[in-house]
Amino acid sequence: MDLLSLVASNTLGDIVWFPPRMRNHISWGVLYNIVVDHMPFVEAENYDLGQFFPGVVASSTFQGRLYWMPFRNEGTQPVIGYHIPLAEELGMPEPHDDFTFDELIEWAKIGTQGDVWGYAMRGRGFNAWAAELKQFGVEVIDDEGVTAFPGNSVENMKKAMRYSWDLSYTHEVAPKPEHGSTSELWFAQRVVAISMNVGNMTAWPIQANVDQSDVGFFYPPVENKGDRRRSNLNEHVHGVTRSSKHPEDAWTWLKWHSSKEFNVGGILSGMVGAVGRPDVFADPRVQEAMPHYAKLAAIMPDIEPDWFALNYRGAELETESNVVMEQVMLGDLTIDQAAPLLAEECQLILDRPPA
Amino acid sequence: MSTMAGEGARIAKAPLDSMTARQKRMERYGYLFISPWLLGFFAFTFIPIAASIFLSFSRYSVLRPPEFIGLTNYRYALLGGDRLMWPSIGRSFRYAVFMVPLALTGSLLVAILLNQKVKGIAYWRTFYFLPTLTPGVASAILWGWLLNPELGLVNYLIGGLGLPTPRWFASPQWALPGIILIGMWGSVGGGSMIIFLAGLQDIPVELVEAADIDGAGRLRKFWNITLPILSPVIFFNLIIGIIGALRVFETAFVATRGGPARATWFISLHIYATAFEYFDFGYAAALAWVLVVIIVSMTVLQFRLAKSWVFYQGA
Repeated sequence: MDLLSLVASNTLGDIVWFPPRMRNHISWGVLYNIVVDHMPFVEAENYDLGQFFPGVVASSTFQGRLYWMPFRNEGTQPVIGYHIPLAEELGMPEPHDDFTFDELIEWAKIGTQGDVWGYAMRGRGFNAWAAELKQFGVEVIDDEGVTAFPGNSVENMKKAMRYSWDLSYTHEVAPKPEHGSTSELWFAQRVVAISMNVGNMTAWPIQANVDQSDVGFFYPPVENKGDRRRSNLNEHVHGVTRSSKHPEDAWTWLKWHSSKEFNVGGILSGMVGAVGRPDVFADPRVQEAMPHYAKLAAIMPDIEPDWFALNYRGAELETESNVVMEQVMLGDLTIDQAAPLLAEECQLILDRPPA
Repeated sequence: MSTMAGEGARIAKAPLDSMTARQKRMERYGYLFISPWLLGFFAFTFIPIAASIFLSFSRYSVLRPPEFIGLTNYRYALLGGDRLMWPSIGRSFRYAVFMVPLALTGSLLVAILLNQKVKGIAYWRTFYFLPTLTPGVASAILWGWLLNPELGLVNYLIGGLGLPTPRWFASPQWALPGIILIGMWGSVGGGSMIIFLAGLQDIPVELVEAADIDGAGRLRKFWNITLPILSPVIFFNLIIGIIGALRVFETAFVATRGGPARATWFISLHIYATAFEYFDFGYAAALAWVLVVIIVSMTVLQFRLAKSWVFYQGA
């Protein structure tokens, strides 16, 4: 709201920060005219956008215009963190990076003992389980940003919903809704493993009073062995404002802010998250201080921009996903009812004009 | 002795053209003294209300100037385009139907208890009023812990009695009763109770003594004297209670975020999400005005019904 107030009063300053959801940051360039197209800066000095992962640049680009520069970039819930001592105590073998969904369930079954569950998903909004949805072949919106659940996505969504249901009810390796929403405080206390993003990697062990060195990481499962690993981009970005009185200086600052040295220094001094450029992950100082970032480095080259809602109503889609999935997990809707209903509700939202 | 109040009363009575220079000066002082409040009222109440009427006919996201779109927002809200609005209003009414009678009855009973001549009554009154002083957000967080299905004190006590333990905010069936419980905790000993207490102390002693002489029992006195004389107070608390219940927001916002499965997605939450999460301020303003019309209609209806049951002394 502070940002909105600054925009409304035309006192935004030279640079603005934004945490996009379903690429609604594009609206700040296209619809609201708040940030400038950065491509003229890039072209004027042959600035190399190839120093960033392709998905990172694609996420902030629309119709050939680059509206934002990357800051923190990661896959959304791209890893599963697990508590090594607890897993060993429960007799769970060391997890590996090419689990299928079925194998993860079998692994979690071993750890589900007494009051402890073997595995918990972070949540069931689109963002929270985008990695799983992608692996099942679900596209929430088509590339143009206007059609909900294109192609086989409704059928694939049923498979994803079935997986979520089976975790809690068929195999009983994950909490049910009656246990409350997934809490970071459960990590290493009531659940052995939980899906995480970069922030969680660093923050949750601290909150759960667990030593970082006791936390191991492995990738979310795939449907079939050898499937390409997929995830959506979860990011924070900065851009030069149209009201900037010093756009050239602002651009210079942005380049520094997105540079390797700034971000390596940031990570080493405790900043959560990494800028979307390979050389940061490859830096020996980062590899030594944050060895778990190696998991991210391997998936970032294939990272995909988040789904794009052309009317920028992605937050409403996210809410809808949560509500329908809650109804499924509570048994109020069958999976056969829920998947088409979710598609229908999402389409209604996408059919509305931009706010 | 000449006082400001006496001067003010004379100014109020004097026609404008017959006011003396001194009276006119005093009038200017009056406006000067209330000007901070007037400025605040216009800046933070009147102008936003007026602006919200205009915004309700606009497409407005704060990020660009409002665009006039006529009745589009109202059509979308009222003709079924918004599939969440009517169910949200229904939930708010369901909350009000339970909350208002429970809170009114509870606060009247507590007021009667606190109207007794017993030792330490001032401490009891303070004790019962304390929950009202707790901010709504804090009490929602507190009750969120107390009603935790697995670790909460409430289920610990219920389970200790061998009874089945509700899932509270993890269950669509129990989430609304949970919100009502929080509302009751904050309102039974609150402002309504204080107003009831004042009303009880205003009951003429001679009426009660006359009833005693006639041999009336406690229930008869309560039914034939206390309730009729309290009826204007009950009416006031009823109106305020209904308005408050239909605007229920912070407990649900903090404790459940409208869930699970929208079981506590009240109309105020719908307005908030539309404005501050989806940035559709124009449509949110239209929703707010729909709520205003509903509340005003309910209030007008209450005033009409009141003629048949509210008794004013000396009227």
